[in-house]
Amino acid sequence: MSASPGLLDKLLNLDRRIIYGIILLSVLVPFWFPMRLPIEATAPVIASFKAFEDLPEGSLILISADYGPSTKVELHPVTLASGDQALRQNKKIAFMALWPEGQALADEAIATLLKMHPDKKYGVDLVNLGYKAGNEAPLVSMGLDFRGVFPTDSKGTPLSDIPMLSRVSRLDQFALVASYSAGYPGGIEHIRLTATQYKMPLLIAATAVVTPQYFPYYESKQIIGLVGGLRGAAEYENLTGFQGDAISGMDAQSVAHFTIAGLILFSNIISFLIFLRRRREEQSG
Amino acid sequence: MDSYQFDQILGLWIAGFLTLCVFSFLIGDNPFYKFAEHVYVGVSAGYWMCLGYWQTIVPQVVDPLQQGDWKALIPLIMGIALLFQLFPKTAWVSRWPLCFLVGLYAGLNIVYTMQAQILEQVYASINPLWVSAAHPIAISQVLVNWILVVGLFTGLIYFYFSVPHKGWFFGSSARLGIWVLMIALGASFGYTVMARISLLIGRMQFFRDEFWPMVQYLMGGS
Repeated sequence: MSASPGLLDKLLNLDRRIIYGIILLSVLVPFWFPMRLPIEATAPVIASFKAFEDLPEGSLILISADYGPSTKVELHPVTLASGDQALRQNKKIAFMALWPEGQALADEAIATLLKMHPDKKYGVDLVNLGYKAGNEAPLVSMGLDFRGVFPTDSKGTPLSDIPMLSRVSRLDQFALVASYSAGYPGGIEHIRLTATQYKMPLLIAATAVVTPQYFPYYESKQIIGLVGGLRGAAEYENLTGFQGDAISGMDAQSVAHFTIAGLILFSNIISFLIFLRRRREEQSG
Repeated sequence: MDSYQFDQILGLWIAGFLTLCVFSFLIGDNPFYKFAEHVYVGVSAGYWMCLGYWQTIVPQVVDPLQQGDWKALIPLIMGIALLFQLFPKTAWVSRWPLCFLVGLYAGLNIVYTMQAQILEQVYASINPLWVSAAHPIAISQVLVNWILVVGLFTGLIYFYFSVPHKGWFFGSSARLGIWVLMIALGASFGYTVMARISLLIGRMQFFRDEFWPMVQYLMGGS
């Protein structure tokens, strides 16, 4: 190797701002030049898709929006794609939230979905039950007395005046529960209570950081589907044909990952070359 | 082209400016980052305070009391008792509601955690390790089951500290357990990288899909 010792040391101690710049470019370039890289759906995402798909028309679905603006980029696309999928098939969605910001994001999702489906109506096809404080406490009570926990929707309308929920008094009247979870309280609490205690079919969409902790529950069939991070959201959008933000972000994600992997490989090669140089210097005295 | 209200334009400019302020930390600590940090802390504190009042105190205490439900006094008194922690001489009063909270959450979590996260997971780890008439499973599934059982077993051996990790059994198992843990941590790290890049993508999408169209609108472009 003919690289000069000074160059190797400089490369190994590269200013971190240069690395940030490279990562930023690797994210920005695919925005200008989309590559449309292929997105193959994985088994846990296909299972989630089928969980929605296989429900009969008119089924009630409870979506727990357990995330906030900081994780909106990863979870909101799944909320919209699954909501669109359900509405296209005349299924009904009730949103709830264990995160306070989740209520506002559910409102935003409802507004977007109603804009996309002008034939659907709030209260008939979609409803927002709002945020419930107390972390896992509402989940405990929800299985025992659903109306006790949600006497009204987030606007204060009594459940008896909401057509799609007027006859709902128990959790098991929902055909499916989905928790779109960014942390505590969220997916794990739903697994403990909604799925295990109340035996409800549960699927989870999680941020990438917490996705690995949900795989054991998918393997043990405690949850029937799992959508992990932006990648999972893109797979879901691909399956449903929904034109959302996840697919458009996947090119950038792939290029950034490739760049990071390349940087890791590059720095290891540099380290190895420095190791060889030092050993040669030691041998030559 | 979308038309924008004044409050939307203002909101987008604030969001764009604060995003750049936070990203400026990558170059180094600076007053813009400090400004964004302080705004975030202040707004969060105010937001949570309002939220706590309107989402918890009003529906759980104020509304029931107005309807003559005096049971709501119990959480009110316990909530006030928690504030006694602020004064050293009366801090003991706060121990009562704290005891209640610890007892409540321990009671809730022990049962449900045991069922969902221990027993169910143990059941799921008991899998057939060979094909038989009773378990006609695919060879690939048998391989997966072996990986699961060996990975679980060696991982547990690594965390078993009552015996030195030496010899053909404990030594080899613990070494294999380290490999299993490293692979698990590598996968977890990969997902974490994906999450962080997703956040950056989210902000870039904001600039592309929300901020830039507003700038074009202001410039009178298409």
